[in-house]
Amino acid sequence: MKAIAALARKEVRQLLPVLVGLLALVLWSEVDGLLLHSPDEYAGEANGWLINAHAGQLDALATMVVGLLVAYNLLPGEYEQRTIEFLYTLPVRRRTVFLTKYAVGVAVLTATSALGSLLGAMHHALSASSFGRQIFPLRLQLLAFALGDVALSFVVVAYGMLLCFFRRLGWILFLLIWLTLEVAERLWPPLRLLHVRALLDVDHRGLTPLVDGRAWLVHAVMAAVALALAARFWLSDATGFAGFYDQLRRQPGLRRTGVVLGLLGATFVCAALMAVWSESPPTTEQGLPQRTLAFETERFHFTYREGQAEQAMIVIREADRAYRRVRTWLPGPEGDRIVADLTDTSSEHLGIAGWKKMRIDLRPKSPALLRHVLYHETTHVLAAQEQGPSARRAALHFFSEGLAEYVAYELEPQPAERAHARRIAALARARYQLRLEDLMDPGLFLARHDEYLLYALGEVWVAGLVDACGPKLPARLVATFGDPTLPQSLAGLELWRAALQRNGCDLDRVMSRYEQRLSAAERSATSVPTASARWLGEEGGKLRFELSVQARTAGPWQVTLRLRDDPSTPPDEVVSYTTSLSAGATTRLEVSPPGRAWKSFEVQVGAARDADTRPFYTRWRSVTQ
Amino acid sequence: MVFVDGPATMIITRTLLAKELRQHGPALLGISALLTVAFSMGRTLMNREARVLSALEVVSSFALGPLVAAALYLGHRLVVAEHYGRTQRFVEALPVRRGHMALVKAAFGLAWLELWAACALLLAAASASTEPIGGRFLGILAARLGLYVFALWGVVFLLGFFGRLRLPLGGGLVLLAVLLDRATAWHLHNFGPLALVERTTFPFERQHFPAGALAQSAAVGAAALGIAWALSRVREGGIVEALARPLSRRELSAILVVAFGALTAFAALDREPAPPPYAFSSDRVLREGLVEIGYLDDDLRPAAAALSGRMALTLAAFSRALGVSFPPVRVVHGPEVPVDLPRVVRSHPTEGLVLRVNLAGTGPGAHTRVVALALHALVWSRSRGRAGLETKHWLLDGFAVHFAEHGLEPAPPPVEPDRTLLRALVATALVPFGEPLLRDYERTAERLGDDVTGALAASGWRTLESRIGRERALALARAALTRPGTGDVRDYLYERRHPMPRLFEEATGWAWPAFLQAWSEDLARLRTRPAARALLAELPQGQFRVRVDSPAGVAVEARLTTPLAADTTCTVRHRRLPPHDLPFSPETLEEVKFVWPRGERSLARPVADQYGPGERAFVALDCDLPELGCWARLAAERVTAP
Repeated sequence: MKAIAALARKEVRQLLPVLVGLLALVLWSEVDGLLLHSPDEYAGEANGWLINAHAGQLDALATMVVGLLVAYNLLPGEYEQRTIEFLYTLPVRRRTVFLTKYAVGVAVLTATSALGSLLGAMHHALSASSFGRQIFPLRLQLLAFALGDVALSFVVVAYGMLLCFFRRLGWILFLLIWLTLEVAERLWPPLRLLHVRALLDVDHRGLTPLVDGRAWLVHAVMAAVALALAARFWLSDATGFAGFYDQLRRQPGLRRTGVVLGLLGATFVCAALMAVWSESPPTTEQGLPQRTLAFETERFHFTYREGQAEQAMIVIREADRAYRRVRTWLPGPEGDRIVADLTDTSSEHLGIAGWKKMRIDLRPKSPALLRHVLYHETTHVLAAQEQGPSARRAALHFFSEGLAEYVAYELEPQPAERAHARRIAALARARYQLRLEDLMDPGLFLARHDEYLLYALGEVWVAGLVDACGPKLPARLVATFGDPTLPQSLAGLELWRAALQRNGCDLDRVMSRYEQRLSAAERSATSVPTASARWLGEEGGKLRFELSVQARTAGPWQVTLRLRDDPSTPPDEVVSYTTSLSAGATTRLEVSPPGRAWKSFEVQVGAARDADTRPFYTRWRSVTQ
Repeated sequence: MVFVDGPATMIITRTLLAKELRQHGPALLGISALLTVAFSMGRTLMNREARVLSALEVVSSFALGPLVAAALYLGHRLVVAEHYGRTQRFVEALPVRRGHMALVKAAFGLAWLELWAACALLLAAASASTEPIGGRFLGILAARLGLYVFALWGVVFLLGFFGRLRLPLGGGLVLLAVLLDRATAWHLHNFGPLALVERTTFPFERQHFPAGALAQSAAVGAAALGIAWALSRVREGGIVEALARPLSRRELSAILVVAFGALTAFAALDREPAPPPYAFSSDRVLREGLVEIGYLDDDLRPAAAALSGRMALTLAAFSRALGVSFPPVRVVHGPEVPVDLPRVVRSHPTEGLVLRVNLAGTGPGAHTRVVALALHALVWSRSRGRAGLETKHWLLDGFAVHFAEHGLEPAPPPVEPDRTLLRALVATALVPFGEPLLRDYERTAERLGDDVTGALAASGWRTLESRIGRERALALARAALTRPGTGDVRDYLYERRHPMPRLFEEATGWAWPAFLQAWSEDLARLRTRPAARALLAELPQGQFRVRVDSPAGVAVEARLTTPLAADTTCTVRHRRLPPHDLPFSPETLEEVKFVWPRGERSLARPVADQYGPGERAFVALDCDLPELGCWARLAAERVTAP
């Protein structure tokens, strides 16, 4: 027992640099929290993986890296410097030495994590707000300690003990495994369980966090296996795996063999990935000639599939005219030809555009819609040329889309569609109390709302800009937002205020016009059909919903139900189900759960006249089973 | 030592290259395997993404990710490890110039990285089947990528010569670049190497060579390699040799202390950037004293003039009463702003306030509400929020509402109920008055709504002023509300030394419990007045609750003891909550208005299709009290949808 205690003390001393480093980080955070800010105004009171859905993923990754650091400080050095042989002379078994090292690693990591948690609890206790003092009750603190501090340390140090056997290669292996899991999760979402970040990724029912027990079980098993393998590798003699690994490191011949095997493995992985990425045409296009053709006009270079020549020509014939007309809104020097790729096939957009390039999906759509998309994307291309690469792209997303919609509607009038879009904007504005500031943070906005609202509300905003300060303002604003002298620190309304003031315009006047337009559209917004989806439960692995439509006329209406795991779900992983329904009637729909769904998923529903009409989608609602 | 020249140089170069290849060949093959996998993964992921504009975008990501990692590793092997392991000394024993060796290493690493960049570019170009890729475009891509790699390798190679200082130096460079990016018009993403592989332009610029960025990158790469070459020769490589050992603990500590100090200083200095100056560009603006009102619409000029006059007078009096000067207050008409919910758009201790207000609001107390908000926000921003700490928030609210109503005029004692006192009585009819109402003031405000809560607080001020006199009451306001906030630990320490009960007793000479008792008695006495009894009789009486049950979902429910005497406009206010409880702004509440018909005894109003099972929500039932110009919150709860 004494020997073990001495061994443990020695390991703690060995881990002292890591411990000091971690404590320095804690100290830095506390200097910021306790001195540079008032301790009773704890800015991070709402932080914490147990009280925020999906907020613990980064914590888990950070702990994993620290766990690796701890393991690397425990074992490889002892073997390099042969000090391990002294340890083996102690009157304890080798396995005990190994397990003591593991236990000390876990204890050090647990202690620093627990210190962080304790300081967090102290911050909560100091909070000047009664809400802040009660936000993190004792039961949650104990759960956070048990899982995030203790159990996670057991897991990550076990992984570290295995990876550090491979010395520097272990870091590369870690990166490789991490990358592989990222790709694997994207290809088959249930594999997210294998990622260490799944451990601290919780859903909630009300205030109760729902920890993913499956992930903990999987990682408990994997950590046990990793620890057993690590023991096997580290403790084996010269004839075991450790001996083989040492030989591999020392003998060039064996090393070359290893490299060749690695290359073969890499080739195999790449071949598998190539097979995944090779595209096959969407089902609607099967049977059509797939040869890619090119066509050049004065202003565009088009590529399109032979089988879609008819639709392509609708776009091509209009293209140069569209360019000239959009130029009247966004004047500038004649640029290079725009590359227009008409081979795009997407279930979630009609077109995309950027610097001198656009992609448009030509699959059967009305000529008017295709022309609208052409004008919209051309506006994006010309605006991007004027603005250049900008760090503010995300914050200006609604303006960018709004401008493209506005110009497209101005140049290719579609009064009914424009009025419908504005009614959708007005309805959303009124129903969800959307403020202009909400549009300026697309991340938060899209966590709750349909992306199309950014287009519709953005279009009304640009109309407000033109109403208030004239038709030349949008083009001048595009240039202003690309101006590097516009302070980077500006964001939100202050950014708009500064940009508008530079152009002799007034944010408040524009907001006034914007609101007036929305109020005008709101009067007729009752004509927009709205749908609802009532969650009935799960049966046989299927999610059951009852759908209904509220509309002035009977219909039938196309009702679309959309499902996703959470706000981080990529747009192309959102799944949609469409059915036809009359107003006032209800129907039941059974659908498969989204890819990663555990206890929670999100749902929204919308209704429209037909497939070419934009539905008004409800907000994303979370459903916890 | 004899150095060789001429044709022998070629032989030596070849020999050195062969040595590097022998020494690092397997590692390079290994990295190649990893880079191949990384590229394939990137390509596969990109293929899954819906919004990829060009297949060539993968090159940009590859150049900024895996290629940088490969360059760092290669730099470590070729330079750092060689010097750390002292194997460099064996090479230096050869009859070769030091500069020559450095150049061979630089060329070796550069060639390998360029080779990989070229492979990535060709692979991506080959897979871009629908892209028109001509010779010129490929040339531009190659030039951009090639010079990016040149600059990248130059910097990595140079840092390698700094041995143990390379990481701090690299970190310092990155920090400097980030600071310049944030503080000046120079932007990192527009500068040389990063501009060359910028994802938004790299795969799309087909005609023009970005001459500026190319030249900057070439200059960075050449300068870095030149310095590295010079370093390898200075004092016969003595400097490099001296730097080539791991950091000692003392050095590491010194660097950490410097980094720690720099970060702390940066965090301390970079906390509160001043907003840009505010200016109206319209000529529809009224100015009076510190007040400017932009009314935007000629019809609103009279309302703006009335508000401007009142606000300017009150602000001047407020400033005198508290003995501090305040920055300007600007009010802008916002047609979308609810009349009962004016908004603070900007609040800054020196730049002043910007309020967004619906000037069309003509209801009773509309101007008082705006003026009270302005006073409240001025004190709030001066104290950096400290005047609004929960323990003293009631005082700030009460003083602001009271001052907005009465200014410097002596207020009538709380004997007969006026509108504010009636509102306060409504508050006490909804929740029992007591110390917890003030202690948990944020919950009180949530439960009662801002107008009624403010009135309750103002009734406390009236009690205070009537019992101890105006001067002592103002002394309390000055002591509790006027200290300029510092935004750091000094605020906390001040608060610890001056807790509200002690501060109250020092300023007023009155014990806190005695004041609460007096306040409670005043309210109780007021409740017996005929006007109060009449008003409270009209308040819907009965049981109100937010119901959550399946399958009905979330709903508000009411059962009245007596039927409603008149049609009453009510509003269900609600919002989604995160899975934790913190205060929220009333501006974020969604509203569903409806009329509760007279004669009805019960009400069940679902919040339909808004919240999914397990979601948290705040739901409240507010009913209008027209004679008081506000609404009463009959029920309010935070609930979990079933």
